[in-house]
This record gives sequence, C-alpha cells and structure tokens, in this order.
Amino acid sequence: MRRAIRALVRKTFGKNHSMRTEASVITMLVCVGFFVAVMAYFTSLLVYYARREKPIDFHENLIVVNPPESWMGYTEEYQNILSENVAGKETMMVYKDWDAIYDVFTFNSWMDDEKAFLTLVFPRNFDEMALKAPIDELPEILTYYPTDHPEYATVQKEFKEKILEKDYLRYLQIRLGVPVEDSEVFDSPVTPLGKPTGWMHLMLDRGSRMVVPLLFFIAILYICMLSGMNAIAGEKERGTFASLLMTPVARGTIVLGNFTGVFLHAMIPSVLLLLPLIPLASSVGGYLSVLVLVVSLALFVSAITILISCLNNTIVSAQTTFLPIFLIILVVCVTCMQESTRNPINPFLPIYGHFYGIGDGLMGTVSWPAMLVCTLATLILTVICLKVSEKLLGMESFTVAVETKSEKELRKAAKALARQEKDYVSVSRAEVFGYKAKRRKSVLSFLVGHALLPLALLSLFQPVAMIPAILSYMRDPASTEFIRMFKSITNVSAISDVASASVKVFSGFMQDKFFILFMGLGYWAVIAIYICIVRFREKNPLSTLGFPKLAPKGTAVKAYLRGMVFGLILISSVYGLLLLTGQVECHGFSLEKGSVPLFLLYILMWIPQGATEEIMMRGYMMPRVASRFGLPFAIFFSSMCFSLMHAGNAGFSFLALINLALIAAFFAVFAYTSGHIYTVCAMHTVWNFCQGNFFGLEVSGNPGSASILSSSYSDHARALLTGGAFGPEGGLCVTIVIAMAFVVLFFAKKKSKRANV
Amino acid sequence: MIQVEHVSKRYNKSALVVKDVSFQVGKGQIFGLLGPNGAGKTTLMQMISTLLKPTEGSVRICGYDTKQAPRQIRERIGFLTTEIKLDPLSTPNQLYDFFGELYDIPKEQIPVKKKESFERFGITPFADKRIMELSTGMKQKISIVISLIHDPQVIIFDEPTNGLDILTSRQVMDYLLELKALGRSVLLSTHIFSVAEQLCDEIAILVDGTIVEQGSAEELTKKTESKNFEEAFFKLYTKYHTEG
Repeated sequence: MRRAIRALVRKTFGKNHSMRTEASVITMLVCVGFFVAVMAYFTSLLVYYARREKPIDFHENLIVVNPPESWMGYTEEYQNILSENVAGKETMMVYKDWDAIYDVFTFNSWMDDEKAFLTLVFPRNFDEMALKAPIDELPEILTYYPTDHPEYATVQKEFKEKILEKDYLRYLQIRLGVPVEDSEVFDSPVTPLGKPTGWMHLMLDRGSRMVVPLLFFIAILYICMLSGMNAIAGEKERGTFASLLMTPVARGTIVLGNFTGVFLHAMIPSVLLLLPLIPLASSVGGYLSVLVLVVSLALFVSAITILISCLNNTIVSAQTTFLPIFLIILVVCVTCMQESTRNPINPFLPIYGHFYGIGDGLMGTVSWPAMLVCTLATLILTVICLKVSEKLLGMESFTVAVETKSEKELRKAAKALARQEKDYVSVSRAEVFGYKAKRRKSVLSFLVGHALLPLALLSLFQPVAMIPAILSYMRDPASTEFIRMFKSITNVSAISDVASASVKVFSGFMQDKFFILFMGLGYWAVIAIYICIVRFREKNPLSTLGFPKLAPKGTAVKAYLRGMVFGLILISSVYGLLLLTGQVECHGFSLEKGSVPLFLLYILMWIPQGATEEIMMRGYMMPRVASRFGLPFAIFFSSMCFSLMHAGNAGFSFLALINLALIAAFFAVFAYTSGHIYTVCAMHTVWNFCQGNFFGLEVSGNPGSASILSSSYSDHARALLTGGAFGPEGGLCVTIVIAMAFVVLFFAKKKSKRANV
Repeated sequence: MIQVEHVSKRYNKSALVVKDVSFQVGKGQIFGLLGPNGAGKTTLMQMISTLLKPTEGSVRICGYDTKQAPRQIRERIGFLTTEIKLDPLSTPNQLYDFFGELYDIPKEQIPVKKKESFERFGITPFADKRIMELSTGMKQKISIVISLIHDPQVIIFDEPTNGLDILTSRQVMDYLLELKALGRSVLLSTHIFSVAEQLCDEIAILVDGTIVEQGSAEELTKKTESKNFEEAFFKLYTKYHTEG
C-alpha cells in the first residue's frame, strides 16, 4: 500500500503532472480579480510603510460649523479637554457658518485649508431644538474627518465617544436643567484623547488579520482547484483513470495517494507564505497555531477537491462544481474581514476559525480552545470527504464513462433534435434588417435579457452622469432639507412626499450643464456597447442593427435629414393641436443669452439620446425578437419595453403608457418598412428636442429648459389632452397625431408599392 | 480459468446491453468474442475485468467471483481496451515504473522486465519520448506491455489490433500465440474475421448482447453450411439481428 501511495503521490505531485490550463474562464477571472485586490491592498500598505519614514503633518485643529451657545460655553469652561490632545499639538477651534450640513465637499476643502482633523456640524438653532426635544432625542451633530490617514478615524471615534456623547451631553443636560443622576464623568477631570496608536502596530494588525489569512485562502483554494481537479477528473477526461482502477490497488489507496499529492501542492505556496511570517509573529505558540491552521485548511480543501474530482468526469465540470464552494469560502473570508461580524461561535467553526485563527496567531491573541475545536472539526470533515470519495470510486457511474441513456431519454433527445430543426435558429420567423439568430436560448432568459439590457445600461450611465449635478446640489442649502426628509421617513405619506421631492430634485438636474453633457457622453457609450455586442459577440454586420450601407453615397444622410423633417412635422402637429384647442399658450421667444451654452449642450445630448433609444428598441431588440417570435410580437414587445422604460418619470399615466407604445410602434413599423433606422433616429431626436427646447414643453415627464419658445398650459387646460406633468405624450393630442401618422404611413407605403409594380 | 454464467447488464434504466451470456475459457485457450460494433463486447469484457458489475449472473476468474474478490482478480488479469488511454505527458519508461509499483513488482525486477519487454516490442528507442509524440501502433504496444507487466494468468484483450498496421497486428497476434503456449488463458474480442479465425480455439458470435452461436471457426462454418467463416458470421448475424 505504501508503495502504491508513494507512486500515486509522485504522479499527482510530480513534474509530469503539469497543471494543465483547462481552468474555466470564470474561475480564472475570480482568482485574478482577488489577486489584484489583494495586491492593491499590499501596495497601499507599502505606500504607508514608505510614508512612515517621513511622518506626515498630522492636522490638529477642529472646525465647528454653526456653533450653538451651549458649545461655546462648554469649550470655554473646559478648554483643557481640547488642548494638547492631538499628536501632542495644541488644538485651535475654527468657527464657520454653513447651511448645507451634508456638504462633505466644502467641509473637506475647509479641513485641508485649516489643517483640521475633524469638523463638527451643528444644525442651526441646535440649542432651541435641544430644549424642545427629549434629552435622548437630541438633534444629530454631524462629524466629518479627512480620509487620507486612518488615524483620523480613530481620533474621530474617540472624540465622539468621549466628548460628544459623554462630556458635552452632561454639560448640555445641566445647562438645560435636566437632572443628572450620575455626574461622575462630568465631575471628574476629563481624560484627554489618546495619542494615536503606532503606525506599525495598526498596519501589522490589519495586515495580519485581513491580508495574510486572505492570501492563504486564495493560494490554497486556487492550487487545490488546479491540482485536485486534474487529479481524478482529469484522469477520467483523458481516459487514463480506468488503467489505475484495473490495478490491484484499493480504491481508498487511490484516493489517499491523489489527496496527498494535492495537499503537497497546496503546501508549496503555504510554506512560501509562512516563512516570511516568522519574524512578524508575536510568539512561538502563535506561530505554531498558524501553522496548524494552515495545514488543516490545506487538508480540508484538498479533500473537498478530491471529492468533487471523483464526482465529475471532466476538469471543466469539476471546476464548475467547485466554483460555488470557492466563492462561498471567499465570501466567508470577506465577512471575517469585518470586525463587527465576529461573534463568540464563529472562531470555533472551520473556515471562520481558520481566518480569525491565522490573524490571532500572528497577533498573539490565540484562543486555544477555538483553534483546537476548529482544527478537530476540520480534520473530521476531511476524513468524511475522503471516505465518501472512496465510496464513489466503488460506483461504476463515477468511474467508467458509459452511455447510460434510457430509451425514454433517447426519445426525448430525438424529439428535441426534431424541434431544433424547425426552431428559430434554423428557420427565422421573420427577418428584419437581415438578422438571423445563431444561438439558442431559453424563452425566459431570451425575453428577460432583451427587456433588461436597455434598463441595465441606462441605469448604469444615468447615475454616473448625475454625479456632478449631485455634487453641486450638495452645496445648496436646499439639500439639507431634502436629506432631512429622507431621514424622517416614518410613514407611507412621508415616502410619497420624498418621492415627489426627488422628482423635483431630478428635474432640477435636467438644467445642470454637466448632467446634460455627461448624459450625452453616456448615450454615446451605450451606442458603442450595442455596436460591440453586434460586431464582437454576435459577429454580425452593423446592418443587423438597422444601419445598412445605403447606395448611393449620402443616402443615409438624406434619410436622417428626412427623419428630422418628419419629426418636426409630427411634433409641430401636436403643438398646433394643443394651441388650436387652447390647451397651451405661447409666450413668444424666450431663449436668453446666458442659456445658449445649455441649449447647445441639449442639442448635443438629444442626438445620441434619440439614436440610443432607437438602437435599443428598433435596431437591436426588434429584429432579434422577430426572428424568434415573428414581427407582430416583436413590435408589441419592443414598444411595451420602450413605454415601460419611461414608467418612472414624473406624471406617468395609463394614457402615457399607451401613447408611448403607439409612438414606439409607429417608429417600429417605419423602421421595418424603410429597412433601416436612420430616419427614425432623427425623428426621435427632433421630437424630443422640439418638445423640450423649441416649444418649451415637458419631455416624457422631464421639464424643458433653455427653450427657444416659452409655452405654458392655459388655465382651462385639461390634463387628458395635454398630458399634464408628463408632457404631451401623456395626452390625447399625441394619440390623435400618431393615429393620423399611421394612416399616412399606410397610404404612403401602398402608393410606393403600386409605383414599384 | 474464466467462467461466465448467465450474465446480463443493464445501465440505469436502459434496455439490456448484455443478455444472459454464458461461456468458459480453459487454461491455454484463446477464446474469441466476435460481433459488430454495439453488440456488447466491450461491456461484457469490462464486467469480466471487474470495471463493471453484472446486473445478473456471475463471473468467476481463477475461482474468484468478480463481485466478491475484485482485487484478487485484478492481480491475476491483464486487461487491454481501446477506451483505456495512456497519460499523454508521461514517457513509456515512467509509465512502466509507475505501474510496476502499483502492481507491487519487486524494485530490482522492474528494470530487468522493462528492458526485456521494451526490446521485444521495439519500444526502447522511444522509451523516453512522451506518449503524445508516439504513433497509434507504438501506443498500443506500450499498452500491451503495461497490461501484462505483472505476468497475469488471464489476459483480456478488447480489440487489440484495432487501428494497427499489418506488421504490428502480426506482432501482436504472434505474441498472443506465445502467451497461449505458456498456458495463459486469453479472452479476445474483435470484429476482424481473420484475427478470430487464426487465433481463437473457440469463437462466440455476439449479436445484440446475446451469444447466438459458439464453436471453432471450422465448426461454425460447417454448422451454417457456409463457404468460409466470414459468410458463416453474416448468415448468423442476419438470422439473429433485429432492427431497432
């Protein structure tokens, strides 16, 4: 037996047993991602170590925003509390007034200018509010601290706990006349803030408790995965496993030999990581506990990989089975990195215990009972895994690759094949823009994927575009009120108030230059993504996205210009109808000189905006859905998706849903009959532009600004016709115009057909 | 040496692949299983060599039952099938040493035996090349050498001449006759008539998992009133094969 185990270990561990590169792409990506993250952390540590040599200039001042009288009195009486407490320097108090109490950007720049380690922000009228409120519900005092140095966080925590929540609170209670039962803290001389703890210790602690255990886990998991999957599943895949099974060697010996080989592989990086830790370890005992934990972890993971290897017949399927376990273990590691999740039981459990134990061992705070229980539990689990693996190797379905299809399965497979011969990939239900499906997908993932792709892309780019607008809004005192509203949500009606306030805030962003600029860039990015999907993922020409090469040269441009004219006619008809029925009043020319840049930015934004929505719905979705479900369903589906995409906008109603679907259907029919989407892109762009920036109306719930004309709803305007806050698209006028447009399109196509005949 | 009694095999819920097969192979005898692809030859041989367990019936080799004493049987048989492959990254030398250890052959004997067998089959010039660099014929020779590394009493060869050129086929056939002369029992499966006719003392014709006729090539030809063995096989096949 010993000889057999030795031979098997040599084979699994030896140089001939090279780890082949069949690792699945996803697993590789996960590992690479984690390695990059860990390396980034290490680099930041190195940077800190480098800076340790030249101590950075630690800020010592304190900024107090909107200081109430109570605070002034407190600091007067207890000046000693705040002096000589930060980095051994005297603390200067800097007073400021500012309404926007959540304006983190302004506070940050102040802290830089004033060399402050902390900013205390009191709400205005703090004292009056404190008098009215019960003592345990005092208005919140906000604290901001610079983030470029971890020590600031420690000092802030200490400041908050010692001064704000104890001393100052007591002072306030006495000042407000609230009886204080236990005045011990207040009466005794206040302890000054602790000196910042040493750099070295802090970094060592974080590195030992977070980085080192994570590195061990990643190294062991990755190596075991490569080696373990190659050991038995790899042998099965290459067809060499049966020759092993034919030898008189017991199944248990085969498992043990392969397991030992995998374990030795896992120990290579573990030893490499363990060696440099010798000088860092705080005690011999601690280091030994790390050693025991690392070995037991490697044993356990090796046993798991061997078990999975026995269950699978190919390396890729084994890796795919192992991947969830890999991810779960990594998630546990990440959880362990957060101190708050540490509870009394976790250190006794395998994986949790290993992560905590390695850190504790290095820092000299080992809990021996936890370490021993964790190790013992791990060893028991290891033995169970190996025993199960041995049993599996006694079952022919896990050892000999045999065709085990029953007659029923064969009939089913034949039926599936027959179905495939007639399905949408073989025979397109409808061919739009020359698109033909190449891959099969389940109905659910096909439709859900198509419906979610536009939403996912837009929800990715729109918030990004919003960031500059949010930053500038934070400087506005109005933001304080808005954030307070969020904080005070206690019932449903408050939620609706907040929702309507949010819509108002968002509408405000529509007038922000940067928002418009970034939105435009975002739309271009979405267009680029769609082009990449079609060209590189589907490997189709751009004509299948509704952009064919039209001959002669310049036809596409003409088509686009024609679309602009059609769009202008359509939206002008809507506006004309609103004017004629007296729903809207025009106040004449309104574009001011100052709004011209914004107006130009709007034009630059509407061009990709119209094109993006057309590419998403008509160019991409319609042909793909049509090839599987036919044209009528494709038009219906893409139109409903388009309509529902606007459901979150202000004033969205049932009529708006119908109208938007009708407009979308009109664009779809137009694009289908013309064989491209150049014209509809232009129509869409001009429709939105004219609505918002020519006539000055709302565009699908977004208010227009920087408009050439100024319009408003008349006093007797009816929302049914005008669409109210959603804009004309929520009203009957658009329904009428689009219905007429359908009639015109129908006759125009009939005429052109006749002309062709 | 080999006793197969009423053996049947069913994979999961599928139909029977091997149906009630019985035969015996004596010492120094070459027994052939002849049948078209899918007749159940490989399944039957995998059952005899302990890789699969019979659904019904029993297989005994050298007095041991495959279900009860698989390890004892594995010590006594040499099994070769096209489905078992050699590690493409190893060299013949490494493979011989590896299997030598697994079969617990005394350390000092391994190099001697290796030299002898490698020279016999002309493997020596390629002994340090990786399997992936070798031709099909060479790989088959190495497989044969490794399957017989422990000098087994019973030899089970599944299509040993499959994919080999005429020269190598001849070499393998001669070797089998030599083993017979040494008193080894050989169970051979093939779908090549000439191989069956020249080598086998007794041939079983396997059609759709059942032995439809058994005897020497001459007996079978006579029994079916055919001109030659090939015609005899086709007659039997047409008679017993059912479509679908």
